[in-house]
Amino acid sequence: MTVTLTVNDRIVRADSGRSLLQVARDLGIEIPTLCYDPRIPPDASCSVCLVEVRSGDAWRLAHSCTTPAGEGMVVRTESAEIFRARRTAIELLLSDHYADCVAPCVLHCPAGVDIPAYVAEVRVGNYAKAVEIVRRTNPFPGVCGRVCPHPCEEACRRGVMDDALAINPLKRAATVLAERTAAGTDPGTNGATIPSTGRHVAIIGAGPAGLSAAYFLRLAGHAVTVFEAGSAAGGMLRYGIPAYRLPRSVLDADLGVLERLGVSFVFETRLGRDITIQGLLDGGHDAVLLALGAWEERRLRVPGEAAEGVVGGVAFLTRVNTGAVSSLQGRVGVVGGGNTAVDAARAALRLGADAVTILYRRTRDEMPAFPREVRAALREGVVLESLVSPVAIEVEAGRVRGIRLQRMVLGEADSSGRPRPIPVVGSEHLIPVDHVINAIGEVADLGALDERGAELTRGGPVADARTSATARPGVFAAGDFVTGGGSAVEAVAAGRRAAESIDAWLRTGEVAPPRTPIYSRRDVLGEVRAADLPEARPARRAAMPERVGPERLNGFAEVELGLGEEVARREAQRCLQCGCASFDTCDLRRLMEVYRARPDRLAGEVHRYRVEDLRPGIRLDMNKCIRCARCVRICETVADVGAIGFVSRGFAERLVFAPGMDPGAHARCDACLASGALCADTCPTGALTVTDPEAKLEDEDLPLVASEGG
Amino acid sequence: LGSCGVAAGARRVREALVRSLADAGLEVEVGITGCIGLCHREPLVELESPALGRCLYGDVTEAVVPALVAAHFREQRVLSEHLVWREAGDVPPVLARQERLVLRNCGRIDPGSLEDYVAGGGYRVLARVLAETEPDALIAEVEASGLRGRGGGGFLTGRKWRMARAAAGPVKAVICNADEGDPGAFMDRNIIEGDPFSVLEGMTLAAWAIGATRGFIYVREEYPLAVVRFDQAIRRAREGGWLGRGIAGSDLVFDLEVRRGAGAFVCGEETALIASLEGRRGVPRRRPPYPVEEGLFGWPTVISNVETFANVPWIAAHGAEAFRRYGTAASPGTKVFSLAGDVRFGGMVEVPLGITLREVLEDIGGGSGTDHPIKAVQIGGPSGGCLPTALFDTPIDYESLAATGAIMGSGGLVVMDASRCMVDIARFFLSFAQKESCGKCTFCRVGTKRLLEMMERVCAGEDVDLDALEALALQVQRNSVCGLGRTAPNAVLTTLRYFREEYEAHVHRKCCPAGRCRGLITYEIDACLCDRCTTCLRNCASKAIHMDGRVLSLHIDPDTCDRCGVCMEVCKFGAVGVR
Repeated sequence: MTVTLTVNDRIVRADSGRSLLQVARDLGIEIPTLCYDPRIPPDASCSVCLVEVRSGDAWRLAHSCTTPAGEGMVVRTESAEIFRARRTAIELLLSDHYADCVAPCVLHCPAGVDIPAYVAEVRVGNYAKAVEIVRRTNPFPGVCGRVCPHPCEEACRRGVMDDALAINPLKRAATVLAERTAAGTDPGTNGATIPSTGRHVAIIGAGPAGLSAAYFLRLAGHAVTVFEAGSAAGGMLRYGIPAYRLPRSVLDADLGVLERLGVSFVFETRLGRDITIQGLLDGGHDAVLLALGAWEERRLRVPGEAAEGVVGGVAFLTRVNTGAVSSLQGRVGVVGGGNTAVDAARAALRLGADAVTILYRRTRDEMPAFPREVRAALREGVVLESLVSPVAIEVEAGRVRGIRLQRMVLGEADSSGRPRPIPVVGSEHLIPVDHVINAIGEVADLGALDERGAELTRGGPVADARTSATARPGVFAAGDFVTGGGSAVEAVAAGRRAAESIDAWLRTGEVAPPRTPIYSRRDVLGEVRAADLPEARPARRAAMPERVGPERLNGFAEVELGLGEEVARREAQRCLQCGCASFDTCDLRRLMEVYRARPDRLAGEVHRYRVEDLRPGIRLDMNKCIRCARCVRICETVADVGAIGFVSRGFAERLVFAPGMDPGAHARCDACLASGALCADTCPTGALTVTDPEAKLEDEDLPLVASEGG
Repeated sequence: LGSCGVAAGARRVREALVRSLADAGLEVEVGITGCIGLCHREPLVELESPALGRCLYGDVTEAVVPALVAAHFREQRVLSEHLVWREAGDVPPVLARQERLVLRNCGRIDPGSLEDYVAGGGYRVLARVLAETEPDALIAEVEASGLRGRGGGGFLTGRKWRMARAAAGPVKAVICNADEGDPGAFMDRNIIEGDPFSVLEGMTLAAWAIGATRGFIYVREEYPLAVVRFDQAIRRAREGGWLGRGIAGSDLVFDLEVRRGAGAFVCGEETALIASLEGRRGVPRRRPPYPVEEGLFGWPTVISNVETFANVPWIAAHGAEAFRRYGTAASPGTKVFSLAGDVRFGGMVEVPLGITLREVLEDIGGGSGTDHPIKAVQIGGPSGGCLPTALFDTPIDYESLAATGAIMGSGGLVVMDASRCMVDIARFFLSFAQKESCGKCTFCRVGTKRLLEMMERVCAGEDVDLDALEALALQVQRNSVCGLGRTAPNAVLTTLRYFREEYEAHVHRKCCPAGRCRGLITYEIDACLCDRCTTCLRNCASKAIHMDGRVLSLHIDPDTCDRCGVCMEVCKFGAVGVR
């Protein structure tokens, strides 16, 4: 029998046996659902497929998968009420979905590097592949493998169990080991193979932000020219970071990938002196990215600052890194607590200084420098004098003689969240020094902008944090130039964001902030404890070998030596592979995105389960199960096995593998598994997955070898 | 001897009575009956003698029996302090306002005796119908009576029969839903315990009307006496030729089986009950198809509750017109209610539909019976709603109750006096529904859980967005698959509607106006009223009450106090207060 009904104002005829969901699908109208599978009878359990059916003057919500088409029925599939109901259903499911879409390390990596993926490649010895994975979101695996502050490791779940994974050393190991394999290192993409868009972008500044933007814009098919005031690319990586942390060969290797990609460089060309923004736009560039960095050093504002022997931290490091200064005698006082201060102090030691003291107005805990750098500096003999602030530089005959300091105590937290240093009256004292390195911070030099600079800023920040767009169409800005001094990986991330924004602008003529992805995250629903993690044999983190003995400070040889292959591969085995293997196929994640459902909005008590193998080859992660019963139903009706069922009721309901199956059912279960396992096939999330029945959690032990060189 | 009487000691009273009568050398026949409904006066004994006629005595404990026997039979005088009612006197209001159609036999006959049932007119109508009428005529009569399902849904029973009769199927079934699960509801239990045969007769009439051969009674395991009475009645009915082949000499074939439910509340929902009867997980499914089209094992099935079936023989015997003399046009007939909670005359009453809540609670129920006036009534069990006194003039019928946000439900009335916290009450009813969720659909499984967590936070005085609470409750109400989830938020929604100021007091002022929510109250001892008797100290389970030896004063340590309230209950001087 056929019936006539109205769906979204369209009058349609349908077989009366068909559900509203099927009728809508026949019309090409998509109704979201998590529990519907055309192979099995509908169940209405997920309650996401709600539509509205007219009832008198009102609309009534109905489950479309189990509501049959009726004569004269008036149905609509979209309305504010429907949207709300579907979103609530999804949010309720997410509130008891104790699972991570993406591993926490990835979420904490500014560049969003797919860490579990590259670590997995290191584990199996595919180093070139590992490097390729890093380069998908970060063009500087070699550089970041050395200098990254690795916030990923702070977030690493393995840290809950024993020690965080040595993520950054593994990245370094991948780049080094890739060169040694037969296939060689990953050469990156050949720019000649990329179809051109005919658009041209000018990037000003060859630091990590500008180069990262250049890399991704080039991959998108745009022509890119990088203008650089210096004589070589790298920015702070080349002129700021000393070689004992980042050997120049490593930087050059990463830069080679850019050249192969076809990025053009114009050196010794300075904005405002040699080129202008307007000139670039007039000269055939469709967009300009300002990535000038933050090179302007903040002044101490104390008497004697102009004396001979006083130098800025960045200026000092630039001279060291370009070879303009090769030795330093006497006592050195370094003012500041950031990475520039620590780099300058360690560089001064290597140039032969008699004594190097870092003078910082708060305590070691508040120092913005990376803790491992502070630790290394102190180990090398740098002295840290905390809770002091310079009030004057003592000058004799135009040269520095000492620094007059004032003691500080810590007070209430200031706007930065750190305790405010308060001067102690009458605590002034003098320490004798021969050199003062001022490293209290760097800011962008906005004076470098041309006469239309004011038009870029409108009094606010130079550029929008999400779109990198300035107030002037076609002009973008990113990196330290916008945010002030930050880490290399932050600059890489900023460059990529800018590239995506510029690419979108070139294609659509509009600047729109990217949609922030929504992910299910365990830590939002409840703190992750060791018991929530997969079982793994305890293993301590691989220690980074360091250069020891006199040669460590004799010149600028690299201090950290890197992990050897066996150590790296064993370390990679410690990775718990957080994140979801079903990320790309998960319907729950897709609908969460479509309905902008917030996993935390209806958060409450959450179930935590251990991942288990229902039988060899079928893995159940009950944390991800949404109780849609698709597996139960398909196993019973299509596979004719009945191997899976629910136990307990209500909120406590969970899946189990049926115990006493008869031999016939066992055989059918085996056959179904051999042809792909219907239960895992129908699972809308990653709760049921097919695994290699032979797969073990850990590989056999590998012999331990000390370091890269060994 | 219903469950209520047995719980009050009626079995021992019966033995004492037999002993006393034997000791006194009196020849008196001692029989038993089911519950008459005056549960608050159990154990009840009705004595009949030529001189005094029938006298109903209440609160008859074992100790009272000898005096009662002596007074009533030997001295031929009424023992007035225990008298509830006598044939010659005035009818007490609790009985006067009742119309006992369904309860016609309850408290009058021995529920185990087929002879008693037949002697009272039972099975007469079944015999007559089988001999004289056609199924369609019976269906027409039930349709004309306007009888609606007494389990809560209120669907027209006659229409259900008509559809089941029209449905094609080699086998059809009749199911009696005796899975009465609402806390505070015991109407069906008492009907079964007091008059099981009327349910069997109603089912047999239904079977004949629709052409069913199979009958099932789904009764909860927690009603052991009801199970026994049903088993007994079925056995006797078979022996008497009222079940099985060729019932009452006709060619009707119909037999019954009792199936015991394992206590899942959701199995009171008809599709879940059917799934459970089929041996599957007791989980509801979406309707349509309705059971009258595809029910048990796919057979066309009429499923109704105990009270509905008990109405059927009366209607068949007296006719639709007589039935319609009771109740309202849209809700004809009577309804059995159980009265529980803060009500003076707790028990079971049968009243015509259309009567107001006030008449039932004040006139029949006798008010709260506590120091506080009645504040609200929960009608319809956990699925129902909490109605304030301002709505007590609402007539009890399906449509009027639905308009208030409550439901008729199966007839449980839980009365709350002014000392109750409505937030806490709503939290309790919601917690019941949440625990009983089967887990199948998202809104019920997770939604009721999240609602309960929010309610627990309200009771603890934490910041809860009441609008968000209400929005989620509405979503659960609209979008759950079955009646359990759809009605689970009713207690929350009705209290939010009628007692919102109590919620606001918890959330905004961090206080529980009724002084019930443990997280928001402290107990204190008023030194001026305290007699230093130390009863509270000795009764405190958490050892939170200490005596200061120097000044001999008692005080409660708020950090160790469990807020159980025992100290306040045991204090004879009213010295313990709550703040």
